[in-house]
Amino acid sequence: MPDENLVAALDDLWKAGAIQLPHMAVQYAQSNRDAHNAGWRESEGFDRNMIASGRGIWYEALKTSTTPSPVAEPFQALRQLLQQAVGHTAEQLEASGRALVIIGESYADEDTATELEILRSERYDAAPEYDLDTPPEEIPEVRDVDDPHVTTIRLEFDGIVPSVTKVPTR
Amino acid sequence: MSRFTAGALRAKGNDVRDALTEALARMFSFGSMTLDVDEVNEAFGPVVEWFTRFADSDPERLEAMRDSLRHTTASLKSPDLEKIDTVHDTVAAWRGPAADSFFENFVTPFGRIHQNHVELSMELDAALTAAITIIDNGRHDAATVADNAVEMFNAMDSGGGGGGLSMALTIVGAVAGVAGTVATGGTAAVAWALIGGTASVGAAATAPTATIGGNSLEEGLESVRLALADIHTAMQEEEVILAEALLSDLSAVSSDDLFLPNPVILTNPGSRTGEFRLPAGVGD
Repeated sequence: MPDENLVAALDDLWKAGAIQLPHMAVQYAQSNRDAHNAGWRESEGFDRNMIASGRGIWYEALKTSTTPSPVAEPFQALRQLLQQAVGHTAEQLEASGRALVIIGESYADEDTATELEILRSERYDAAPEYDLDTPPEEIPEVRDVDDPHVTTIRLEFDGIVPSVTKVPTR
Repeated sequence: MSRFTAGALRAKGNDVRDALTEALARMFSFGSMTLDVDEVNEAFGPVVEWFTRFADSDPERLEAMRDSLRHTTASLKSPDLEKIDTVHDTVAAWRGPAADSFFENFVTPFGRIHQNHVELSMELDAALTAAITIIDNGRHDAATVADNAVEMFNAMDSGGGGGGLSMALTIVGAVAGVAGTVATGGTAAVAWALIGGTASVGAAATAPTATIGGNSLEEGLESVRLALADIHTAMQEEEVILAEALLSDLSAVSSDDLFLPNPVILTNPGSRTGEFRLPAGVGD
């Protein structure tokens, strides 16, 4: 018979490492991808033409130029900081989860491991009925600030006229 | 406030040009001599561009960026992140240097950096809202200039003169208008310029007033051009205020506020088990 206390402690550690931390990593990884998408065509959002101010006779040709707004640079720096911070955190959560699973496995003898397998299997079976957490199917891949943007074509119909827009893929 | 689109701004510019042409036609009609309206309209084409220039910016792109950021904020506010509380309770029971370090240096401070992530995401949202507001208010002001210009030109008779209509620019204070309060209920670790609830955002003291009017067609038109230039100047000033707010954020936030050191258990966890020991009373 496996030690009940040991089984309970290892089950808790497994839940932390295989369920709780990975679910947190999913949210963090998705927040990283959305922060990356917020940078898609970022400079276009801030570019604008400006009329040169100052006096002149009314028919004077307006001096215009396309200039990035002074907001563009600090905004991008802060957004990239957020993207990197949440991406880094996502990776730490995922790796910490894996580490806890490995640590737990190192403490389980054959009997304990069998008992834990049974508990996990029961958990999967009962999950739908009791709304129990199981490990996430997958953790989205974290994106670096320099990664290209993946885009999707979105087709929308206004009546019978289709409009095609490109949007960054979440 | 609804958005003035490129089409709406062009319509405003056309209204001004038409009123200008009509005023000129009234002044230069002597007996059978009349003005070729089409020709004059074409000559006044640049006046329309004064207004359409305000549509060169792309608030829809900024809104799409903000939508993405709102997904970021939503993920960071997910109830799934409350699972750290359970992780906290589990890891607290384990003993040894590796367990202690993971608990003290990652699990416990996690809540603090998580809050900073949420706040930074909200700060960026507020920055985009301010940038959008600057554009929308600028367009709104330009449209008001157009309405006043039409009124002025319509009032001009053969003797010229008219107007003197003044308007306060709504663009001023656009950035200060978005300043919110961090919804932490506690003390924010980082003094965010926009959502920090502090009065740190610079704002122009008084809204400059643009006056549309003049004693001649030329003076009247010049007043329109100057009013539009004032709006552009106010937009630029607001952008500088917004940029300064974000620059102050960049200097206020340190990497310790957003990044935790890698947990010690990530370094070859298999060999760390001796230092990540079973809870008291288990397996003894």
